[in-house]
Amino acid sequence: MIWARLVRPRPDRTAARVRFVGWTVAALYCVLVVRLFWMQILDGARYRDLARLNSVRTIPIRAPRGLILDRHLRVLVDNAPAVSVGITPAELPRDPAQAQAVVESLAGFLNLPLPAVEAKVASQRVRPYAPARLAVDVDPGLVARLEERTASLPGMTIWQDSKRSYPVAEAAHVLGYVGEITQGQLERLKDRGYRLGDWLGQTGLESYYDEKLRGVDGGKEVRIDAGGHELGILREVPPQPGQNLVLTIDAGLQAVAEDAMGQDAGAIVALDPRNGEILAMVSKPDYPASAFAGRVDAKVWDALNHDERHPMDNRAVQGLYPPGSVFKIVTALAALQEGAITPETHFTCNGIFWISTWPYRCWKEIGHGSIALEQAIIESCDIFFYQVGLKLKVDALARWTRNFGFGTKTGIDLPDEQAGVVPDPAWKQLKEGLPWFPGNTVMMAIGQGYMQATILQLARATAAVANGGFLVHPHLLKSVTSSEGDQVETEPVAKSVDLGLNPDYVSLVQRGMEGAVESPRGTASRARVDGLSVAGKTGTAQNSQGEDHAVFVCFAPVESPQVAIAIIVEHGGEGGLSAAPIAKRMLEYLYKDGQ
Amino acid sequence: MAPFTLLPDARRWDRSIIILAMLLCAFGLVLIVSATAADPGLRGLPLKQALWVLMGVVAMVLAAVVDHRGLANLGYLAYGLVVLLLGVVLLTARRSSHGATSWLDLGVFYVEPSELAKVALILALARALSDSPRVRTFTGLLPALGLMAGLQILVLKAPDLGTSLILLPITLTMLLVAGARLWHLGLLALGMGAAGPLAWPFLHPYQRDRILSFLNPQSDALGTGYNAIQSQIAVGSGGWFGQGYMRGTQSQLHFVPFHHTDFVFSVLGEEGGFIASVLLLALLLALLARIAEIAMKARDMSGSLVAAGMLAWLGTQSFVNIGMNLGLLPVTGIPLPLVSYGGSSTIAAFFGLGLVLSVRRDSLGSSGDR
Repeated sequence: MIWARLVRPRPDRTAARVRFVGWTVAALYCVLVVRLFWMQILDGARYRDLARLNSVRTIPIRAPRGLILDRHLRVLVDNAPAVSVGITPAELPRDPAQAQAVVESLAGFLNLPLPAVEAKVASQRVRPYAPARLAVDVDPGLVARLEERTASLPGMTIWQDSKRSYPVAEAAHVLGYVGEITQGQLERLKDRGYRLGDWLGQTGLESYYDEKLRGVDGGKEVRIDAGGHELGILREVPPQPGQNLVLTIDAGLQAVAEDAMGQDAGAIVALDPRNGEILAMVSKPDYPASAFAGRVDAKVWDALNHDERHPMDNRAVQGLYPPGSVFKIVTALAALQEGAITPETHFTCNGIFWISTWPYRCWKEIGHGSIALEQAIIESCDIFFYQVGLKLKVDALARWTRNFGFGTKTGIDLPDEQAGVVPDPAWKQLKEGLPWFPGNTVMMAIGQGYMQATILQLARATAAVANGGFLVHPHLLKSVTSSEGDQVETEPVAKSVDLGLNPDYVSLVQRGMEGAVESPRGTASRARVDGLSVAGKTGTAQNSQGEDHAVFVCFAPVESPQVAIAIIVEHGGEGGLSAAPIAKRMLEYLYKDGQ
Repeated sequence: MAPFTLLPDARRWDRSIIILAMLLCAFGLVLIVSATAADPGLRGLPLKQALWVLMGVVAMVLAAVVDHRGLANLGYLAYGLVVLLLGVVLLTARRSSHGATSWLDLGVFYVEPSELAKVALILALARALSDSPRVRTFTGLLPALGLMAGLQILVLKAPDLGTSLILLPITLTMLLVAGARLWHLGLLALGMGAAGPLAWPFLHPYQRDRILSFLNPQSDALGTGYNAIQSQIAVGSGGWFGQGYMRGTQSQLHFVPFHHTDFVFSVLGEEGGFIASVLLLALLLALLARIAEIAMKARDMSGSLVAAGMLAWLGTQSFVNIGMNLGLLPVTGIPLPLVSYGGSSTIAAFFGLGLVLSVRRDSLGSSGDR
């Protein structure tokens, strides 16, 4: 019978062996307790962070960028909605091959080079829950086609973004453009709160005042489940919109100036000699401001950046030119102040002036005869100023040139301003290893030779003559307003520098400049405006590469100047010819058509 | 004497086993309520689990009132029945979505034959080993190993890697208790270790993935390593006292998959923290200690073997399950006995405990209040 066999006596060692098994299990449980202690107590903080990262996601809410307005509050730069398409790395399929397929097919739809898209997605992996922006301002038709494919393109994200829009076509260089922050810029700016995917002003005022314009992004913390579905908002911080910039620019004057310049290469700066407010700033050739808003055509981008005429440069602050004869007003004031000449000092012009065996000619071959300062300015006599320069000497001339703001940046609120060159013997020795010759001094006295200045510097020097000897601080920002436009905050303007000029000397030079425009023999009669007293000076910037540049500076009204203008037309020939009529049209706008 | 002897004497029920088992089930129910709260699709599960517990208690009473020797006598029959069931499963199986368990659809509810395999193996081994004094020879081990291997292969094909692994410590423990020489068992364990890689080609790809991702969870953090990482995050974030009942973000927001079944411990770790986790471990260990005591005091070899088999089953399975929740062991897909949601596993565990109760009643019956 089975039963009898089953009741086998239990050997003693059985209990010991069961006990052994029991202790083994107990030991295994100890391992679990130790592991629990380590995970929950010693390493708990790390796991709690991970848990938080798992279930709480921060979604940025972009702050609307501030607007840019002209001095009469006309909107120059606005925001417009634009649809962006991108890839959110965290939402791509987990299988690498499938993820790659999504990236490839989206690159195809958006017509973008695959390596660029891959790099963009890869760099976004540091913030995998935010989308990497692949294309902005996507065509609505394409958006519709992509939206139909949402299911087959997991990870693709389509969202309402914004782009800059330009109700007024002008002042592209001054305003600048906005672009997505690059890796290099991010490296440089990440300590200032910039993040991947941010818009960043790339040039012009957009760049210079980016921190005012950008505002502070808000965000919401949402609780999500494992599927990424939003379950609720834990915390929401509304974005603070960027501040609006009110510029000193007069959009109307800007438009007239750009129109007058046409597509000739050149630059114009018009400023208020009383306070340095820039009323217009033109650089040609230019590009449509809207070229870089939203969708950027790679071909357009390439063409603009490789154009030999450098349409991307703001010639008004970056272009360096010899000022030509307009510089005579600086030479004149320097010589008067230094006592090198008096208003009555006469020099003789025979059309040719010899320094040992070198001939220096006047533009008027038959010469001006015996001539004093005022007439010499009116007629722009070169030989008069050669002799003034020689009497004044180069050191004093260079010092006064610097006093008038040449050779240093004006400090205007634009990026990449150039300082120019004020030559002197030390500079020449350093640069060319050659001594300074008297011929260098006579060239400098009429604004040729080594002298290099920006049109902005010329406008400021002209303003100093207009306002009786004060070097103003040119600026473009008049005030800053909050997004609602209520809290107005006027930008403080640095005090003008008093050059300490004798008022009699200033009015003498002013009379000379007025004569240049108003008198029958004046070189700048093309700038004459009926019913307005205009003081001006023509110039020709010698250009070794081709036809000379036409330069013109002026201010008006002479009795109480409100505007000073400097203009250069590249390859525009002799001063009066092509530059002065532009000034005339601007002055007509200001004093006859406008306001 | 009849093979079935009823022992209805109420004083001989082992109260500590019953109380501890019920406490563990209550613990499990509380966790299952929390684990399923956020998912409308799982709403009925706590109630169903309560039903399984009830059915388990019935199974326990049935097992307890019957003389365990009688059941051990039927060990081969039970074994044969389970083999049959597993065969049916293999022939009719539809793979479920997450790849793991195949179920036998009995119309009203599903049966997981692999859970029954553990009970059947314990009964069959108790029958085989108490019957044979030859376990002290190496060849004497072979019948037991054959019984084990037969079930293992079928269970592995089911496919249920976890259960087939659990069958090994059950067999080794019972051999040990039956009196097998230690060095035989050592040699056996060594041989099994060496043969492990041979099993590699027979594993399902998902089983291989699980083992690979255990060795390096971050290699595929969102794929096969996902479960392990998420459950570790859940447990680790619990701290001393946990995030609060029903307030664990990982569990409630579905970051931890299968968190009412295989990963129910992660819910406890996250919401109850270290204190509650250790409390659960203490309850389990108390139950195991009581089973060990019963095994030591059993009146005969058959009783010791049945209780020791249960000790090995519940001890290793709970260790493997919790170890998997804590990232110590690969994800093998076995539930935490008595705690995890699951009909077959709950009923099978209770039935096994019923056998232990029967052993206890038998030993009390023989020598009074020993």
